[in-house]
Amino acid sequence: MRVPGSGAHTVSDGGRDDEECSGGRHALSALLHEVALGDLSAFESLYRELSGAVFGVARRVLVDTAQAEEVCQEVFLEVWRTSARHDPSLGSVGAWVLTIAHRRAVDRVRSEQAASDRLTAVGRLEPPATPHDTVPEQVEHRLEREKVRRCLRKLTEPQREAVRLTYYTGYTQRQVADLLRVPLTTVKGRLRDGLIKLRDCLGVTV
Amino acid sequence: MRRRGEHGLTAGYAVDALEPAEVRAAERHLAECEDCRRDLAEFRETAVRLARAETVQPREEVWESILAEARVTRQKPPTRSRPAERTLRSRSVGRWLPWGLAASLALFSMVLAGTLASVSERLAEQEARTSEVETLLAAADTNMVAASLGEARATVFASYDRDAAVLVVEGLSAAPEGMAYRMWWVDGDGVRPAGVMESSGEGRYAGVAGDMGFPDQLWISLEPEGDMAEPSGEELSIDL
Repeated sequence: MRVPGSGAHTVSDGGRDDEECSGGRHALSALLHEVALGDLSAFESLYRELSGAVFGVARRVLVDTAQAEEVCQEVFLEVWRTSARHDPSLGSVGAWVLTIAHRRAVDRVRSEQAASDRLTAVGRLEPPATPHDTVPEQVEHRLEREKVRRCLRKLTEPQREAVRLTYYTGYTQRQVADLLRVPLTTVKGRLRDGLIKLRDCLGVTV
Repeated sequence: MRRRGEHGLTAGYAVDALEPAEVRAAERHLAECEDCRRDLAEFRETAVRLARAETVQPREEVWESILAEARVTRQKPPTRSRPAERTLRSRSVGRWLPWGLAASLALFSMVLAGTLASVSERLAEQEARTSEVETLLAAADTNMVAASLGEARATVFASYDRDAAVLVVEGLSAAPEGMAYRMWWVDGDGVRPAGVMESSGEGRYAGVAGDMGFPDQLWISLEPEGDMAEPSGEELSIDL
């Protein structure tokens, strides 16, 4: 079911690789403005633009497809409700939406974890295996995926581990420190250095 | 007197890897650190790229249910002003001095009651405490936080300048023989001892807690007497 007239809002559909952070940003922010005015077709365009990343990151963190779908719904409904309140000075629309998505996914992991911790003393200590995509990799995202992989490879193993266990698995720095039996400050340093390297390698600018 | 470690929270904040108490410390710090806000924005854009690389299209039914829900969901109007920063500093005693006077009178009567209740050998100790309390209340940035802890009511007078706080709790059940109420600071670095509370009247306990830093919470717990590195059981917590 497409919203009638939704074809009108096409945003940088092809080659979303590098202009993501330049042209795409303005387009998304224009879309969000229309969403805030109650425009459902702009909302659909925004959804088409970001739902893959929202669902993808939620699935990566939660491992569970059904839960990732729920998170995806929650995220976009929050975006719909609060679109008028987005503060552009705090970051791009993409960063806003994906921050909501990651936080919701992580919150679910943690409440699930808290529940299972009550059942077993061990809880969810081992990070879950990364879900291997059964869905065929989409060509349009292969470049971005490759680039991120290449940049992740440039991190030291401890930095990569810190990024993996926090961003992709949803652990807190403290949990990572406990898991690896290293001081909290060490984990903080690894995560920070890892993110800085990724930022520079991916050419992120604000 | 800035504590280390707050800058180190930005990366963790950007990827949602902080404990709840750390989140509050990070948000307070971000509000006053422009460089950290820039770092945060960059880390978040970096995370966007990580998320983009995970792109998998959800089933079309997901959009259909979002659309159906959106059609019946009211959008929130824009907010004109951002929510006020929830910092201790925003409620300075200086701005409402009469209240400060009332509070110090209340504290003095509390301390005096304690002096009378205990015997005179503790007088010197009490005087030292009184002067500590006076100094703290006189500090320009002292402010008050009140909280209810079940049956008990807690009031914290805190000064960043003095790096200390006075905690008064009314309505605590009496500490059993050999046990004492201890205070604990909780911040981004964890939990650390903040001293022992003393009884100074009926169901009233008070304590002066130094080495405050920029805490997120003050905890109270009933512990066996003697030095302890961390609380052993149930704590009452006061959000600062």
